[in-house]
Amino acid sequence: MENTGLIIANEPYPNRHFVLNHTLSRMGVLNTIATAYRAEHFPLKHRFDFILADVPCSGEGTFRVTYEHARYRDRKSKARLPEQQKRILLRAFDLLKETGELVYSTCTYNPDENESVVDFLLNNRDAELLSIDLNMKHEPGLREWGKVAYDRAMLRAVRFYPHQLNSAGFFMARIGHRR
Amino acid sequence: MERRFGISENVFDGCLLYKRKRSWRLLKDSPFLKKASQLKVAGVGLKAFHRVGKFVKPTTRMIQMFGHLATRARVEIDEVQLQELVDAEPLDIEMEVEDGYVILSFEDRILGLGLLIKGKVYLQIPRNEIGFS
Repeated sequence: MENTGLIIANEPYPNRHFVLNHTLSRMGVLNTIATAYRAEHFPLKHRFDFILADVPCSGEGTFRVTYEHARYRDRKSKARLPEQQKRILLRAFDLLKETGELVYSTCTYNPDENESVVDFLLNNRDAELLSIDLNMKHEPGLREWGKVAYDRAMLRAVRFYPHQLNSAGFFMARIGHRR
Repeated sequence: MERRFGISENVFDGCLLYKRKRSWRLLKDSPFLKKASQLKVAGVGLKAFHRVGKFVKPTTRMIQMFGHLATRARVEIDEVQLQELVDAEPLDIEMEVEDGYVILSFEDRILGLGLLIKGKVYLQIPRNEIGFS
């Protein structure tokens, strides 16, 4: 953005604001205001052109560099994540202008936190998945998981795997109002 | 910034300066700010200056962003001099400038500020910002 326009950087946890401010200042960012709402409660006063919803997740995509897997099975909060992610994504979509675009992203492989959440949005809002044009190796979103079949458009979502990119794992879905 | 470093105030056209307690934050002006002010704001822009005693000191980030525009009070140092500063040793520097803050540059990259007192420069960059590779 070259320091044009205005970015609202929302981080609900105050202890992470130090890192947020440090990153913004290190990057020479002058056009950002930080807020501290719980994302699912962000006020509906205004609408935005672009929204990045990088939601709390189980972080499976980072296990190759962390030892989180040692505590993975004990994380009781993991079971509550999909519901929280759905609420966040609904709120993010409701904050989007008619011509705006939203990216939903996680660093996990779990379809319950990825495709299921996006599918929930598609069933509850007049939203559509947009294609993502990428010049890097990726896989499409899953069409089904277990006994659950997702919207055919889920193929437009993307999955990044460490064995293809030598990176952490990610999931991304680009979303807009249905046209 | 203009008086000490020769950085024209025009550089900051289109920017706003917010004062909070002992510091000032720099934010690009925008037609969206009025709407944003209705939110519960936790932080704004870049921390640009803070008060140190009776003086107002630019922050390291501020100088790293705009220091390349300085035409005065800027000193280029080499790796040996940088190591001395990091080791908390003052540098002997001859400069035709009054005592006060000077911009430290290394291999044409702006590092941050030093403090010039009677011909000696003392490092003013936070130690956790400095690393050698």
